[in-house]
Amino acid sequence: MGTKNKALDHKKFIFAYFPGQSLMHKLNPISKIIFLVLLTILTFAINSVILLASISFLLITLALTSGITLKNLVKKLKFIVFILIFSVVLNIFFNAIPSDQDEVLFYLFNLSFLPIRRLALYFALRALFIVLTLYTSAIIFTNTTSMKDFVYSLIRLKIPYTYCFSFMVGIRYIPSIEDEAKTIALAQRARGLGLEKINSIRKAYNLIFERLVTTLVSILRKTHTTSISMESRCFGLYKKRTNLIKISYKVKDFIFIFLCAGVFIAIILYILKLLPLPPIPSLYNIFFQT
Amino acid sequence: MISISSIPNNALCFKNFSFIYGNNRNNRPAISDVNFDLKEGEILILAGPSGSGKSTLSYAMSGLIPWRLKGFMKGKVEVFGKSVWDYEFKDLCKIVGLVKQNPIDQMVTFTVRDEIAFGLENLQYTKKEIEERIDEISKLMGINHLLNREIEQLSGGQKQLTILSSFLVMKPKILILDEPIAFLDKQSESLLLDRLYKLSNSKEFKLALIIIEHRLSRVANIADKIIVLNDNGRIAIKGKTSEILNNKFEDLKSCNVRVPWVINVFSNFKKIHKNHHQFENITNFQNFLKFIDELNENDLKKLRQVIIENEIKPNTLKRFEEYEQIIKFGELYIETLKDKELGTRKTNKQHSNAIIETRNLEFEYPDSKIKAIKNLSIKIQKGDFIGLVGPNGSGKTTLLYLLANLYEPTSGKIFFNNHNLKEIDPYAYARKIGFIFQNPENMIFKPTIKEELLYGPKNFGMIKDVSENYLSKLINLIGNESLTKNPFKLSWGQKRRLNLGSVFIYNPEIILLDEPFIGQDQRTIDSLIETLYIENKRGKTIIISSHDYHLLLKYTKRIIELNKDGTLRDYDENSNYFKKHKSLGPIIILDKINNRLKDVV
Repeated sequence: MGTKNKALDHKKFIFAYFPGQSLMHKLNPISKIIFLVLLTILTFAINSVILLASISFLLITLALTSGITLKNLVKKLKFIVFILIFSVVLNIFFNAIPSDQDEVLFYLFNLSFLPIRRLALYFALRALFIVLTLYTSAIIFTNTTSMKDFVYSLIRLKIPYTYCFSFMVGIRYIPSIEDEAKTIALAQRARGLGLEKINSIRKAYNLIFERLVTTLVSILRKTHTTSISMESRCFGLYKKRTNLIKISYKVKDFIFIFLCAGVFIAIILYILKLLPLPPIPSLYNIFFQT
Repeated sequence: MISISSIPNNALCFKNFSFIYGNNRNNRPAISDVNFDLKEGEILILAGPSGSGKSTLSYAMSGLIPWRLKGFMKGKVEVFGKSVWDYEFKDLCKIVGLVKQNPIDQMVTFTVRDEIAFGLENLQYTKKEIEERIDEISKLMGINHLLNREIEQLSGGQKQLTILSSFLVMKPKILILDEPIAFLDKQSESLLLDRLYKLSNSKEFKLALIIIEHRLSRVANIADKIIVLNDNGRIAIKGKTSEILNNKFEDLKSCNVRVPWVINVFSNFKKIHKNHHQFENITNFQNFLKFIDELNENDLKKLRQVIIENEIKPNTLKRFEEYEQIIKFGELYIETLKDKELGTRKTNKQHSNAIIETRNLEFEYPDSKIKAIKNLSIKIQKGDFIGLVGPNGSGKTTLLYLLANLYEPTSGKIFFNNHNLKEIDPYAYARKIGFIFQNPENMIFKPTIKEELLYGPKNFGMIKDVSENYLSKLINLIGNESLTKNPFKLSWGQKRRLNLGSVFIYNPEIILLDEPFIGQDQRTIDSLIETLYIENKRGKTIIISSHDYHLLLKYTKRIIELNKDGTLRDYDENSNYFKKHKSLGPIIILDKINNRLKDVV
């Protein structure tokens, strides 16, 4: 397929929803959000790189059991992993403070101007796993949660429905805006813009700016129609409204939330050294203090 | 004796109604001195040019004026005998529904069921009631098998029925539809109109329907009353449909609306036959067919002449000469560019002199497995004026994109002047093609009219060749506007003409138009098609996709019909598509006349 049609390709967006039958698909979006919140707190509370790394690997396994194929997951993670590796290298060399506390563990390639320092390495690795954990969990959430369910569960949470609906309409708009933007891009092309290589910032700016303005005008027209249509169907007249769709909580959800909470509390207690368990050895202990 | 309850109530009554938008009393009123009334179960057609205040009037009917839109209102609006001021907005919006033109822009939820439930949910009906009503309405509208479908998967006609149901479920007494058939193909259109007619006549609903539509020909047969607005937002004509069509037909014709062709032909025929009085009112097609049976040979020949002049042949273009004066293409800069032109390179010319030829063309959208275009081979000659027709989803737009080199075929080849398109520089080819998109605003990119017109030439590097003189002449095409005006502020019809100007300016050889008439009023449509007709006479090749068979029949030389299964029918003047295309009224009548003539002889 030629490069021209590439823009047509509904490339699976990293965070796009796809239907499935896995446990994560069947859970209530709110349960998943609770899971996300607890996970986020944990990732920042945990100091141990080994623990963080194991959580990331657990999450990747969870993603694989949620109907995301390994091939797809690799595709989705490729970009962020590339950025992370880059940032680890930057962190190690530029985030290091040459001091006694930050001892030099070893020299990369035995070159004296490439010292690897202990704290710099630690922070770099920790940042890597935190980002990886959060990113993977976001993938799991968005890939297994349809936006429709999400919005309806927000309504269930007693968030005022007018807000939820503005969110919903926004999501409903995406495909039609996408179509419109494509047509507009074609209209530019038809009159000769973007046919040759864009070789100056000015050209690129023009291309994008024109496209954006024209698309915006069309979105504004749409919103006008939408608002009139909603108004004349009595939207917002009462503080409450009936909701035909109710996203229900099932036994699964309660078990899941209970489990999450249990693990969360256990780990927090462990971090606070309130559990009679030996501490996890640090990487430094394993590799340099034999 | 008639019981009181069987006398229909006045559903709507406007008395000396005027409205001015905004905070300034001195602004031009969007609508002034409107008087009319509408009874339960009646259908009213509201017509008029764009900008005549049709939408404003529809807002006033639905209660958005005065409750939601700011401005100054004069006069009285009564809904079921009660002034709008005595209603609360919520009561009013239970009674009146307002369906706008484009269904997809009005939908807020994800599935058909949710969309239909939306209004009732807002009104706090119980779940059980909602389910019952959805069931009832969806059966009535024939969409009960679609209830769990996602909105995105629906066809245009299904979307329209869905949004209509979402209003009907609230059991309104008055329903306003803003150009409901604009996006529909023939089949969905007749389905929708049929449903609407039934709704308005059903005892249960007794809907008062207001349909905003300037193509009276499409809707007149179901309408009880007609109101036509003029440019100043005043009523130009109003009255009962039959009365207007019979007695005020000449006035109606001057009102910038599309008149029903049967009556048009008939009234022109009557003019020739002044002393004939055995035939009076013919407002529908079937009567017209019967009427033909009664005519003698001489009359039949005259009638045939009238039909051909009115419906088959393009208008005698008086404007042609005016137009010639406005834009003299002889003085065009393009002459100087001739040697750079494509395809003038002499090659061993094959037998075909087609300007565009497709061979076994196929196209498949990347994420679907259905072929939008299937094994399509056509030849388009230089100077062809082609109408591209077919139901929604038959691939008309895709074909145009492929011909314009905006999409790349999945397989098969396109030839331009016998050169494979793949081997031609896309930049040079783009200059040969002018593409008009469906929505005029989608192809406006610059903040002033001048820049907008020069957009193409600038990108093609030919800006030096455009003379100021020529530019100012193109402005005349748009109307009397300053070159520095923002194109988004032009009227809808002017935007469309600006699109044409911005394409004509680089003098493309082929002009492709994708549904250019949607949302345009009759005046713009006429001026567009006439401009294109003239361009075609000057040697341009034009392909135009449209649902408007009548217009295409009149102006184009060839009609290509795409079908959903990928088959194609090609009618041209030589193969006499007039005879073959049975779905068109004038052709059926012509056929009938010809048969009768044979019998008579």
